[in-house]
Amino acid sequence: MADLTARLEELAHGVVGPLILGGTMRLVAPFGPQIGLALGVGRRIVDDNLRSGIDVARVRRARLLAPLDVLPELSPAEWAMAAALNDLMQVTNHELSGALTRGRHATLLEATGRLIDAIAPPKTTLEVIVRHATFARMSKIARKDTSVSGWIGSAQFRGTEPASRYGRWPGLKGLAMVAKSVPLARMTDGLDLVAPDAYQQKLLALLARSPLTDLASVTRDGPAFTWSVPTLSLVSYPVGRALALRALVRAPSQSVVASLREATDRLPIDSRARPVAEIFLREYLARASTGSGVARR
Amino acid sequence: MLVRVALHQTRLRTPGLGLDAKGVALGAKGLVLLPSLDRLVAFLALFTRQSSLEDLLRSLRVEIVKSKLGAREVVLSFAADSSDRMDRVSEVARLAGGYTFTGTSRHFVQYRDADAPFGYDVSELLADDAAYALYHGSFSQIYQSERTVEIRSLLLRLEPQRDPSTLDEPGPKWILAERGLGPALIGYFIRSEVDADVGLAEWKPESSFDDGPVQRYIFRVPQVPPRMMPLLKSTPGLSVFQPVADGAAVELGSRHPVNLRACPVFDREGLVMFRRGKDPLDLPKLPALGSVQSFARVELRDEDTPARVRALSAGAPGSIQLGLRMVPTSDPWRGVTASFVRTEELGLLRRMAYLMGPDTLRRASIAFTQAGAFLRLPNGIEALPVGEFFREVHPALYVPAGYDVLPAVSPEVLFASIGAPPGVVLFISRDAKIVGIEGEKFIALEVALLEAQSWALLPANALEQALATEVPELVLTSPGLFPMGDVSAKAPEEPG
Repeated sequence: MADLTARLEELAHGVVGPLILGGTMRLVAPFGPQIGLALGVGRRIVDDNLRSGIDVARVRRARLLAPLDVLPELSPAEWAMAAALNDLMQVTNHELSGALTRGRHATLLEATGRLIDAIAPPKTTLEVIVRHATFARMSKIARKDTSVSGWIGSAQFRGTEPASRYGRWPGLKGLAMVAKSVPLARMTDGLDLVAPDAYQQKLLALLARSPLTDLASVTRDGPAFTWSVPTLSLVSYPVGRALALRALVRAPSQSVVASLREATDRLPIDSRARPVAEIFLREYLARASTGSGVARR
Repeated sequence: MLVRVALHQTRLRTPGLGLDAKGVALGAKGLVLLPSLDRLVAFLALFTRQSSLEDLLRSLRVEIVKSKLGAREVVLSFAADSSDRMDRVSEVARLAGGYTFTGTSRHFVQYRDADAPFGYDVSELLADDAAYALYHGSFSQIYQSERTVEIRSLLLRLEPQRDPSTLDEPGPKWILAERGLGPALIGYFIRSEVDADVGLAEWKPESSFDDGPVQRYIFRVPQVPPRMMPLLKSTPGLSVFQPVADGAAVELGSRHPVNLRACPVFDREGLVMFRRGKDPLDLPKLPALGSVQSFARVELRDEDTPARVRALSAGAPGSIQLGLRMVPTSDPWRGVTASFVRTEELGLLRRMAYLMGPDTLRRASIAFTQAGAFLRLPNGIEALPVGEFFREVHPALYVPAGYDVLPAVSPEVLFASIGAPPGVVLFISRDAKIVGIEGEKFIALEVALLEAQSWALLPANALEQALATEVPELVLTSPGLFPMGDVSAKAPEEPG
């Protein structure tokens, strides 16, 4: 039986800490739905330094949107989201499987989907802010892939540094090393065991569990923003709308309008959700046209 | 040590603790325990965003207390009039990281919370002569009072925060000019025909090496023309202040951490000017202020020029004095730039506010009185079709639209005959009653509409730090020998 306190601690050091504080993110073994949901119940980070660092950074992030001095500690739902994020990134890890265990990627993707579905959307405005404070930088996660080519052949290194032998006498070997940054949405690149659409669908579902994060990253490269029940619930009342508008203050207004309009057009014309989305879009346009707190690019 | 008070319970052990009409355990006083002074400031900032401190101030007492272990904390005590007030204080205190208690003299028990809706009582009292004995669910502690903290002096010590949004706030301003710059600024205002009052304020010397008191010119300008603002803000020796409450003004470009309008601790007769990066300037009493026009250059004729008109000795004027009357007129309406919105019509104004364009909201100003609100919109009040309309006949005199004054004297004469002090705006109603409103009380409509929004500017460094965090970079490693072990595992039993 897994020691959940130890699992939580390794998740905090490997994923949650770097996500909030920056730095190198190292994935831990997948959690699955049962463990993921039970992980944060009655547990907290044991490492005081890391916990206080995370607390301070979350408050800073929350204060970009609302005058809060204290945030509650990470809730079981946030830990479940962190576990789901870890599992989702593990799906793209080529080291997860061997020659005879290729099915692990699909199994894990399906299990991660179940875990995400089991996480309840936020119920209060404070919960919306708290989740955003933790996962605001989710769409910023990137992996560094390096491709090495030369007269001796070529090699691809996904998320790892090239083997040290390539570093020796680079001039002699005539090697060219090209590093590129792969965003979270395209992490299945170079791995044909996972369908990119299925992966992006799960990523979208995970983003929707933090509706403010979903809205704040509306201009992301992928997956394209789509109105979900939690995001529509957020913009359906004045305080939620005000928060969402504040979260979009630093985003380029033209891209925001284009993304929101595209997502709104995808809603059925006679659905009750459409007027809610249209009101929010109109309010954003009104702010953008007066230039009050909106980045014009 | 604490026990929950039960429904219909009648007897309590804590001395001075009783049950109010709702059955909630309540003493004569409320008490908030805060860990430090900065938490106290946070408490005040949060509380004043939602409601005024005026009710609490009469009985409010802030003390630094010391526990037996030597830890110093802050205690804020006040009259607990009702559980409604205590609930409000308790919510704010919880947010500010404090605990709320209630009691009467020395023994204070934790105030009610979600766990105990009727409050708490103690099972056993602490035997000690300390000033405060506090009983909380997680601790019981005694405290000795060390010293008292004055709210006014605390507010004076707080440094205003940077807030560029105040730079464009309309309305009256205070301008402080160093002694050498005062006459030049007076001349500038006269040449530009800016209506302003000026006075010479004195502060005691900053050290015994100074020759005499420090003198600075102080200007009260009802409306600074926008073209002048860059010069006034950028000239060394000139400081522009935005009045934020009676007797308090904050330097333009900054905002006091606490909503001063909700803390009436400053004397209305005086003025405290909060400056960023410097000590505030405190004037216990405003100096005599006079119009800058009094300093305009005068030209005297030669003494030997014969007087063309010989003045007659003036008789007693009382014999032809008339009372003021308002009569309807069929003349077309001109200069209708104000309206009076009665209290019962304010709801309509509120609804209309959603339909107003940004330009209207920005230009309109409003002053609230007991009977209703006076609205002014320089480019025509038609954009706000609510209330009784007034037309402007003089920069500070309004008469009802569609009415004329009898006798038909010129507006200047009428204004002078009323003898209102400078800065007061006069409204003559249809029954010829005159109401005067201080020009300073007119605030921008957009500001009045958004007053209730709880929002505080963030310190810039916090913003920068939050935005400058390193991007998380994913490194892929092997997840181990049996990575999928937990994926299908069942969750273990909950801890505890």
